[in-house]
Amino acid sequence: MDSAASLPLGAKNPDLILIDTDSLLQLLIADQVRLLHSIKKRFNIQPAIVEAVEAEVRKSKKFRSQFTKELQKALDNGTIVVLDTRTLPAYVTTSPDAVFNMIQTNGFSNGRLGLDYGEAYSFAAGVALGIPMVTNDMNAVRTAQKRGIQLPTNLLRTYDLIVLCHQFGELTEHDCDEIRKTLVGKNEFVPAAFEKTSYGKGLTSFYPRIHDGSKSALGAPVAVHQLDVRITINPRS
Amino acid sequence: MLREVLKSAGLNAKICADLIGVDHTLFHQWVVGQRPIPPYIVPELSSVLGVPEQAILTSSSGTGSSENAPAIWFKFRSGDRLTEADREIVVLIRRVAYFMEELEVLTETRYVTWKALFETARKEVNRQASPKEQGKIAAQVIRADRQFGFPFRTKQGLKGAGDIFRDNLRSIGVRIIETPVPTSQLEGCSFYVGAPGSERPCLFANSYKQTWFRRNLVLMHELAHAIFDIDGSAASLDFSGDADKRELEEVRAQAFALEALAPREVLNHIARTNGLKWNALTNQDIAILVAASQVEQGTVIKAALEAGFIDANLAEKYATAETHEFLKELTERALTTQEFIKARVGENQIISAEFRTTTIPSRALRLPLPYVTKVVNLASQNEISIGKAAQMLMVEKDTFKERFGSAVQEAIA
Repeated sequence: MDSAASLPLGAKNPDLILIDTDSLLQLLIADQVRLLHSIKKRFNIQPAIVEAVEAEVRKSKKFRSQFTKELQKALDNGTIVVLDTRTLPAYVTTSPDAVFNMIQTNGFSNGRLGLDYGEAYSFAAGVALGIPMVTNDMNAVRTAQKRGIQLPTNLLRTYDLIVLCHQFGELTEHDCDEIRKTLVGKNEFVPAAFEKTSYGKGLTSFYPRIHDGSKSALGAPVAVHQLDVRITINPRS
Repeated sequence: MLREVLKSAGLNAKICADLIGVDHTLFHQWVVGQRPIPPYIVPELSSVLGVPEQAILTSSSGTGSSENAPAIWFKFRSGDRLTEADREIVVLIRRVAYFMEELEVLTETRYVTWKALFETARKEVNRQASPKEQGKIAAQVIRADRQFGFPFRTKQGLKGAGDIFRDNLRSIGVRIIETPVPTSQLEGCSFYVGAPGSERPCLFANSYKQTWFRRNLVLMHELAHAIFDIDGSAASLDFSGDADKRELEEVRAQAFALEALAPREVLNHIARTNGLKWNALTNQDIAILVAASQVEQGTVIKAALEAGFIDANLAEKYATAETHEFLKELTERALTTQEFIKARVGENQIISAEFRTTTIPSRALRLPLPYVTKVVNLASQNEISIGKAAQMLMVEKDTFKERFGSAVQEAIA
């Protein structure tokens, strides 16, 4: 399967990119929240989380003490923004209240259909805003599909962001492999391509779902998974 | 408004944050109005605190005095025998009740017939009659409708209602929670759970150092309170050692429990089928009575006395007879909790109590087996996500995977 949807070169980048709880925790575990800052700076795409994700990350027993400060720092310096009534108008110029209400209504409905708060409201926001979402949670995706819950068109994995940062030179191959080792060591999800082999070797069979249109493509040239829908973004002019 | 609700209810904000599963700092910001309360949590807060959603979202309107407390919290706030632990358990019970309702919506199985049944029971009772008579009549209505109170023939032989009434009542929408609360003097209580407008009666039994036989009686006693009393008083509380309370409500509830679990015909049936002679019961015979009726020894003897099968002298003698060793031979319900779990888990029949216990930092709640089983099954079929299942069982996602990994293996893969 080839990439089913991609923005043509020169098209506007999305204003926001949503991150779910597990993906944000992975970036915190790997000490790579800075990558979000780099993506924001280069592409003018604001990393965002829904309110429920903020609450979930803060209460996470496993990481609470370790990451609360780092999360707060990322929120304070604007690397990550929490989507709420105060922040949404900056990204939605027409009827932000209506969009916010739509996210709440659909989020509540998604929750009643079998997703937890973070998943339910992230999916709802991704769909309402038409923006990509970073999630490694295939279980939640499968549940959503089974329950007829609408998913954002572009579902990225944490590793899509890592490969993107490698593509535009923010990370070296060695950095990417160190991240891989850290995540594997902590029993965190990494895509099958990188599970048992080094980043460099695994990259050849990994189809990145987000791509810097100004740089040479990395990874597998052909989509391998149903969710392998590629979005091309371009550096801010 | 959240600040006023918490204050009027006597709920500590930090502990409440733990019980709701929210970080202290974030919860504090919501409480003091530093940040708006996110809409996603409002329905849950409304259900747990017993106030309308709108009331949580509106800005401060009161002083936070106890007179303004939601009825349930007003009740749990007063009384010198109530502890912090009691209030915390009520928060948790109300929270799990919220998820139970979600589960019903999700599986499209709404159980609401309790309301009509309670109404029928109340109608059948002559309020001018003695409290004992009232309890007895109401129990007969419930027994006839729900078909419990009579011995049931099972693979193991005849059994009382103890094994079936929990699931039976749950199937009409009554919530039942049994969990150990060591620091509480509460033996049982009943109150409404759910958001205003969609309330359900909830029966609670403190299982700490209580036998299963005793809890059967406690839960039936609380059922009577749920039918007759909690509409007017928000909650009914029963403390350990209060068995001899003589208030009308208590006498009625006790008579109800006795009639529901060990009515005359049940005792007669057990005696006949086992060849028991009421005036010459051996310790083993008494154990048979307990095992078959599924109520504790003191209660079954009291029931036999009230039914006229024995006199007061025999009742006194039988009530103190040593039956435990015989009982253990007759029913696994006489085993200690650990022994019982070991026996059942060994047969893969139930999920251990440990795995049914929430991991809320300040207070643990043991969730009902049918509820946990249903949640795990739904997660294994991808009907709900692992995150949702963990939320419903009030554990971390990783803990859920550790506990139920084998059951949900395919869903996780």
